[in-house]
Amino acid sequence: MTEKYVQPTYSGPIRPQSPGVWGLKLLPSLCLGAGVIGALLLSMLTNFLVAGGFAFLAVLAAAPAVIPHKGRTLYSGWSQAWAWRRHRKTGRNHYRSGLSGVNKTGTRQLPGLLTTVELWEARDAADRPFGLLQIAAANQWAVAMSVTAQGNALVDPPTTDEWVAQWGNYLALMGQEEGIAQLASIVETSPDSGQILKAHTQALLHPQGPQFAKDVLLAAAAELPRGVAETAGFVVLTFNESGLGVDRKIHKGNIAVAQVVAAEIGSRLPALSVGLLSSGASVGIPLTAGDLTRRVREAYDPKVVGEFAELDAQEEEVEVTWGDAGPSSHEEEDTTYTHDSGLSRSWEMTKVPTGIFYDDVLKRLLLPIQSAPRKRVALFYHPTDAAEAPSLLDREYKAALSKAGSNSVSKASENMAVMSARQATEDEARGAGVGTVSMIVTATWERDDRVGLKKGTDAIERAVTGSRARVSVVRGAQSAHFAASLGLGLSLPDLSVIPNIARDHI
Amino acid sequence: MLPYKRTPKLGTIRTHRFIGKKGIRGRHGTGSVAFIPVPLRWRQTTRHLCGMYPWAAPGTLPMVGGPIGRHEESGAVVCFDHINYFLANMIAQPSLLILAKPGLGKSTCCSRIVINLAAQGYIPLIPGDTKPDYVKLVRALGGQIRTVSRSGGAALNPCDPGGMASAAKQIGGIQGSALLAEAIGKATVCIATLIELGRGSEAIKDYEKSAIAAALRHLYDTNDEEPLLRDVEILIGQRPAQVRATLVDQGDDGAYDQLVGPLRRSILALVGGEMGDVFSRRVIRPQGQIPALCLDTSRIKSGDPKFLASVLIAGWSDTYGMVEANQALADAGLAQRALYCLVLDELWRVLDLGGTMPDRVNELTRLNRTEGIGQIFITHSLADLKKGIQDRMAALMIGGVPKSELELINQTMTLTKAEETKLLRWWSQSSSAQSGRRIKFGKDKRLDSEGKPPGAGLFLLKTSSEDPGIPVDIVLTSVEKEWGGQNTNQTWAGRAA
Repeated sequence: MTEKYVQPTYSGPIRPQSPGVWGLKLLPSLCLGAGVIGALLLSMLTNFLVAGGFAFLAVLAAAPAVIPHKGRTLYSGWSQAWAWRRHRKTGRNHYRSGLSGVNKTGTRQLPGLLTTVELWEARDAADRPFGLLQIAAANQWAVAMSVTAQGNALVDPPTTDEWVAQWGNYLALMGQEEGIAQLASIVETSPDSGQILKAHTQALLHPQGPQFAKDVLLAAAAELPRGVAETAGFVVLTFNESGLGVDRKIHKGNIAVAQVVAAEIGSRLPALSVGLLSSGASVGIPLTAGDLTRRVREAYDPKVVGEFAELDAQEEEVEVTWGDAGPSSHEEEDTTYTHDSGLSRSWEMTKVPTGIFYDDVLKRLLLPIQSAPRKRVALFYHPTDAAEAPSLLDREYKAALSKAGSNSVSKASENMAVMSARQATEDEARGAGVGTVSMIVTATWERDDRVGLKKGTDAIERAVTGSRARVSVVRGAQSAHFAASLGLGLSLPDLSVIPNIARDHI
Repeated sequence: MLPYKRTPKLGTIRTHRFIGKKGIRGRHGTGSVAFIPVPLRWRQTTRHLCGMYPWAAPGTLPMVGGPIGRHEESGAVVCFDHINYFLANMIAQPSLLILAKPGLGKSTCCSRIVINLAAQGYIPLIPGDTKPDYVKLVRALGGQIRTVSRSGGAALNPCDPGGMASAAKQIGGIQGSALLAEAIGKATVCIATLIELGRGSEAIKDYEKSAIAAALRHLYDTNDEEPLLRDVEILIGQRPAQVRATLVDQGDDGAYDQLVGPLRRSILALVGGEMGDVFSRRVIRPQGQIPALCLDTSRIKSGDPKFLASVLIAGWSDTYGMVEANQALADAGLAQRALYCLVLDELWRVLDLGGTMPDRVNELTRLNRTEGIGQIFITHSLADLKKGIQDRMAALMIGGVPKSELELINQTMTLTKAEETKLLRWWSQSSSAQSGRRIKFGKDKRLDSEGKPPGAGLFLLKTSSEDPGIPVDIVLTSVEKEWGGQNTNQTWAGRAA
């Protein structure tokens, strides 16, 4: 007697809560309090008119910090727009590298946020070579692993649910491992020109094989591909220096620090890569420095993918150096990014799947999209330290309670918020981890393909609507998002000026 | 451990411009970022966050081996052959079992894989082609075809499997005598099996086997030429001391004759009468390496199961012996090591005869070392295969099969419910196509554009119980279609195999 199969559901994540009055966040609440006190003082020292004027001005100044605009405050939107205008006026959105470029070394240095990223090569505990990325601006180090997703085509639903649950365990593990600042899972689709298959087949041929057989094999390589895109998966872990046991006072100099970091990450990497196997991906194979450089070069200049495939066919090594992996020029516009032979656009997720959803909520976005053949979807997970998680969830629960309790007629949504906050504390007690999730989607077309750009934009934005999520085009920060979704371990919250802890409260 | 390739450090003045968090400092052409954006984020426990599952879309299929067809659902190119999978450590042995009900394109699938392997330098050996499916293919590859018929066709001498004995003579020394012992053992098994087939369900006696072995040993020790079955029979009749020793007849001629009588009669039955002269002549072996070899048994009517089974058994013994001989010669440095791919089609013809046949097949098809040798077995039900052969299958290509077969398959390799549903669907599609409709109307309107009936040419590639299988649609290239050797329309347009 078999039980009826019930597919498990998952509930949507919520914006980080912040304690405050009247549904405001902490900082605005404090400012409100300060404003009230200021007005009262003024009213005592001078007359009511001045105090009233002050109060009015205070409200006017505070309003944009409170009114939400596309998920952020008006102030933040204005400051970004102003920064972008200045950026464009001073010509900083252009990049010229190479022999006649800004770079005195004459190489195609990586632009923007990637300028300060260094690349090292090391070996892990299982004697596999891996490329180690140093994000000097944030004192962080990153490693990338490539995985092949199983996909759930011919697998029974209980097995898929098991995979998803194990992925949850892997995410929880990130909170328990010391020093992990970010886990980025990147799913990249790229058009299959059939060249890699041709190269692979060419390499299989034996000189003494019968001619007929060789003809058939080459014909198969030429005729079989139908332009189905390839899907590649990557998992990039970003570590904080402090969590790796680095003490700048003891380990003086870049090389000393790098040695400590390489040893520490190398010892942890085998265990971290094996954990991916039961999550429905394959065992993670660390990308070597050469792999990383090649990936970056192919992303910035999609034209060289074919050239590299030919080199592979002739079994010659692809030689790119990190200093040469960037574009020779780039033009950043408000909503597009043009680099060498590519035209890219990035989106960020502005609405999560709300309510309850199933595990294939992102599937339509992850599958190859006809009009956007070269795209990558990057999911960023920032784990909350396992020691701080319980207190954080308690604070959120109290915040949700106070929000619901402040109205005499409590709305259904606030009740839901209270319930899910309590559920979260229970889950955490049972061993789940806590963290935040964000998503960036980047797609690349050929340089002058504006028609393809428009079609692809529509297709990508439609691919998420089914799940009640939403992605919107990023304004004014296209090159930064391109670099972040590339999978080099850039953790944007850690690079920004406002510290992580305070970010939730502004 | 030195840094790989350096990039400019923060704040270096000397050779580079100022560099900050946002990029190179300066105006006009520096390519920095306007501000550091922070994507919107949401908080949740991992119990629910995992629902935003990044691995829901399937990744790229492994590119190992030559392309054989397309993924049935996504259309992506599927590459497979069992030897390359073995070399890539994806399966434990280079052996493949193709399993499907008749008429679903097993031979076409096998031809595809064989052509891919031939292009990679593997020599296809097909010791037993009954339909014939591979004769044209071997001819196109420039290989040798041996046609077996009751009289006047190719010969199969069970006394010297594959030229092992002559190879042993060539090698000499300790390795040579070891190889000779192997050859005699193999020959004994082959002759014993043929005798068993001839006798019906009666198993051969152990002393009869030792008698055969002793006789062969004597013949090899005293003669230079390859012995024939007739020589064995004559020798046994002469009551030589070596054979007597195995029979323990205590010097009694009468007891000796009584013991060897049935054996002699059985051997004579093999060389005369209904078996023709297939087993009574020497095999003409080509010098040097041949690109492919096919033993064409299509002349033998399928209404003659025992004779066909005997020919198949002798053929397998000969071919496997040839492989062993080449390996031994290559070890001794006397010949170039050849890479082979053996195809055993229509296993069921021998297995269906029951009795000791499955065990014998297991013995005959065993190789001492499997390096560089791939094997493909083709059959239409696992019920015939005994445990020994089943365990040797590292990869399975399963076509449409009925439900009873699925239970048997699950004993070797676990199938998920989704996979079982797919296999049943292929089976039901094809069986309705083979119904009386075609006979009535003369032309099945449900053949698709390539002339294939529904459910044919579709196989589930399964290499382990843990990994989900890959549904492959076998695709013929234009070169093959022009050549016409795959006989697609003929095979699928009405012959129930």
